Amino acid sequence: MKTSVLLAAMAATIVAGLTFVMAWIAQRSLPRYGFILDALAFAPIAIPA
Amino acid sequence: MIVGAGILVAYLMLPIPIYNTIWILLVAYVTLYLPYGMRFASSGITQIHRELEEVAAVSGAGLGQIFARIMLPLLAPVLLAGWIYVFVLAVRELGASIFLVGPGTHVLGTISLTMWEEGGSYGAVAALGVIQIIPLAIIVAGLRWIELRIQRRAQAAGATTQ
Repeated sequence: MKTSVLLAAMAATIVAGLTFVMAWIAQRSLPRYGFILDALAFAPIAIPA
Repeated sequence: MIVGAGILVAYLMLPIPIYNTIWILLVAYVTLYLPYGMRFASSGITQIHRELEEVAAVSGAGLGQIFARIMLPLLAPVLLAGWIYVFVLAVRELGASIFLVGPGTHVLGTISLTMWEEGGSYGAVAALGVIQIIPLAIIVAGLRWIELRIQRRAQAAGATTQ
């Protein structure tokens, strides 16, 4: 129970922070090639669950 | 499930000793839920116009200051919503964690599966489900409350400046 909640909180924090930075870089710093970063972050969803 | 198996094989071969700790589960969860977070953050940043950052930069704000004082307050509700979503998904995660748990690192999904498998008691599993729901509901309700407060404060600030 404690493991689960702790893990979920850590994962959610890392994901929120990482995606914030990634989305910012993808949309602002790399206007032309940002879509590659976006697609890369979107790739894991294509793996069969 | 495929992600779990892949990470299991990868970290058994790589010389990084995180197998059988909670960190391997963390790696799996971050990999699995990155796309969901990305959708949230990406749509949030799209809504904030570039001019806001340019104005801040012209006024002499550094990158860190733009980050902390312009983007973070505007994006806080979006990030919080993404946080809640990933948190709830990660608590009920079973497919990947079933490959990666070990003694001492069991998570709720694998505990309820083990209880069903070994004890065969549906009552105990159902009780665990209820116990799982209660803290989750309290945490999510608290965070939603914070989120609504941030939104309301932002609306009030917008009304006074216009």
